[in-house]
Amino acid sequence: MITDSADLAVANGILGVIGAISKGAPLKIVSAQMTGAADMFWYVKADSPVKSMKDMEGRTMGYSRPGSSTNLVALALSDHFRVKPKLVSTGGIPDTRTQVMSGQIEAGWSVPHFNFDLVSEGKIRIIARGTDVPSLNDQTVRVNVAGAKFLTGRRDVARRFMKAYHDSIEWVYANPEKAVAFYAAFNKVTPAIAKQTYESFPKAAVAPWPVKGLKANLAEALEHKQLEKAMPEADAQKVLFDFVYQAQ
Amino acid sequence: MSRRLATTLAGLAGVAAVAVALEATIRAGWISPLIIAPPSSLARAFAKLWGEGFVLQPFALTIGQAFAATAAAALVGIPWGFWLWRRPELGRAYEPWIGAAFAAPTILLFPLFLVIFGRGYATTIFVGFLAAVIPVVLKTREAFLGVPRVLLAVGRSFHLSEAALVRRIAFPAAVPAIFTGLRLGLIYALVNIIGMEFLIDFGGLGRIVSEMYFRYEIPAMYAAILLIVAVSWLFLAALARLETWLRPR
Repeated sequence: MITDSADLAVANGILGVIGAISKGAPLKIVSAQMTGAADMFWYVKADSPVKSMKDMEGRTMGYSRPGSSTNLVALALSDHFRVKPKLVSTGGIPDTRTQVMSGQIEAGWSVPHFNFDLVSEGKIRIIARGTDVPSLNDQTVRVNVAGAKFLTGRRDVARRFMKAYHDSIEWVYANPEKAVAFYAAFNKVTPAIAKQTYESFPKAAVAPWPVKGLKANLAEALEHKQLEKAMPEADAQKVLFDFVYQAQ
Repeated sequence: MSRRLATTLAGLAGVAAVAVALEATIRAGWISPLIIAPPSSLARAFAKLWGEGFVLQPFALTIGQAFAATAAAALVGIPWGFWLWRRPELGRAYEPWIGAAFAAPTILLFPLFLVIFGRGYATTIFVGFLAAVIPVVLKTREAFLGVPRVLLAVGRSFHLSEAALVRRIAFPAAVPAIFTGLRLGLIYALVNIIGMEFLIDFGGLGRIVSEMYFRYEIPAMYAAILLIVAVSWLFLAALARLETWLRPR
């Protein structure tokens, strides 16, 4: 977006976005993408001595990349359970799975529908979920972001895109059977896994507005050096957001 | 002014000229500072990296891994290249295959190496070694093939043994080209090691580049890249010294 190669990016870790905008990146948050972390889970191999997050002291725990939502939730889980795992940036879901199954790290991250097959086969166990941290339920972890040039130069397109995004979410939750069937066909998974995935994303969690927990996100961004200095919430509201479309 | 000093100053002047031109281009708005950091921001960025402990230890880690990979490539590659020269039929048979392997992006095999060696320095060093050993082998064979036959004929006319022929004539004549192979090997080792550090978030300067990139600390990212250039410069200078010492006078 900085080089105008893309106009809009979906599902960005909010910490990274706050960091980029605070350093002058010409971006704006146009909506929330995920509030709370109902989708995320951490798993271990079936024969791991780790039974829950409380056993993760000093053990390696994966997250995708610095500033991502998995980074944020991994930190929140560590704080909530008062453990200090060794957080490791493991990249994408397939890379993380390889590292867990080959014993390079203890716990890996995932989201539905990925790794549900290994859970049902008994090869891995889920030891923590984003929902284990109640305070995250009111914290937006991922956002949709648009380039400032796009928002000023082609504002009507941006508005129509966000309306279509909102209407798509409304359709999914108004037509669960059709949505599940479409998901199963598109992702080549079984209807059972598709249904399990659907249930992992409550409608409230994927609501585009409001963006919640800004104060907590700003504090996390400062603590983990995405922000160089504290940003007052009032300033953040002006600097970070441009809700080009909001449903009435 | 000595010739060496003049050469050094000329090199530094060239770098300074590029820095000034880049600074002017960025200040004029032709290049976004969000993409390329202005050179004037690098001093503060270095201070920031130093303050966070992101200089000495990562620098040492990357140097150590690059040294280990290049040394291993030399220990394996030079004898291997020599052997391909001593057995011309094998050299002709295998050189195309080895050359083809050189073009393969072996770094993409890193998940396999992570499984074999684990998430540690052994993996990054092995990936660096794999990238480095091939140019060392090829250049060593080429180096020995390039020894003038007349020199070898003179040696034989003095009834030198085969071992003495290699030690006193062939190897000294081959040193410059062997060191070209070592320089290439070092560069490929360093590139692959930095790439691995970036990919798996483990180790030295590559990890720092990754961290600064994801934090959107662009000046600090470029400062870390300059530290990588410094590593390369140190190694190349050391290799030049070693070559001078080994080269016949």
